[in-house]
Amino acid sequence: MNTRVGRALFGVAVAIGLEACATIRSSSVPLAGPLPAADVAAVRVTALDAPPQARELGMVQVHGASTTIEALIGRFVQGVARLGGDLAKIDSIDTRFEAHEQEQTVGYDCGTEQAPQTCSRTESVTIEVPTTRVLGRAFSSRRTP
Amino acid sequence: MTRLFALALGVTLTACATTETHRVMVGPGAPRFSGPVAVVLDGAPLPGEFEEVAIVQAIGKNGHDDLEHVVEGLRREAAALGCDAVIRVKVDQGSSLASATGVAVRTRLIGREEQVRR
Repeated sequence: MNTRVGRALFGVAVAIGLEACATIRSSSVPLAGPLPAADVAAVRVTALDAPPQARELGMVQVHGASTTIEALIGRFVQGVARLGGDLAKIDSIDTRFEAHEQEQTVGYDCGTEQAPQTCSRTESVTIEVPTTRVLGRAFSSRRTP
Repeated sequence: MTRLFALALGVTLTACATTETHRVMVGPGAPRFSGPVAVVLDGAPLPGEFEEVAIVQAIGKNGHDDLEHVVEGLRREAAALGCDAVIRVKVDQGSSLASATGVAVRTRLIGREEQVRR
């Protein structure tokens, strides 16, 4: 295989590997009596104030490294639905940055003009990883019987 | 050869400087807004009446990891959704990355301007 193509493929494989590592963790704390889980599709999202008649059901937090707000808020909505809520109120979105050491294989020319050869070595590089957290609450806008 | 390598490296680094934007729709979008988009920092007084349209995020990398680029990213994203303001803006700064989030809104002012045009 052509060395350049090989290096490019390796880079793509590393990128895919890093993307696959982007996991999202979700946690919630119910603050009201248990309610049956709601339909995720029926959950409305707001970053503003919840209506005064809405009933607070619990706190929800999701966080993940190197991920997007689309993915995080999607998981946040699932957490709200699990608590029986139909209104997902986002209270804050924060991002923190951490330096991570990462091993990376680098190719270099180690042959001669007469006998070209490519060798590889492993280097440690520091990369900055953003971790974003979405914190909010689950509300029910349904009237209590 | 060394000069060529330096040139290639420079081009590559410049190409890597990006501001990527993301959005989560929470209200109805509208045609692009062409006027200036106001930016209201988190904790600052909010404009009178407004309609919530989307939660927006801008991430600046490498050469774009600064306030100017991420705030511009939020403005661009909001304008594309027909919004004239981004409220509750919060910026988190790293050493080679910057992230800004906010809520894209449509104030009542846009509605009035549209009525005047008609």
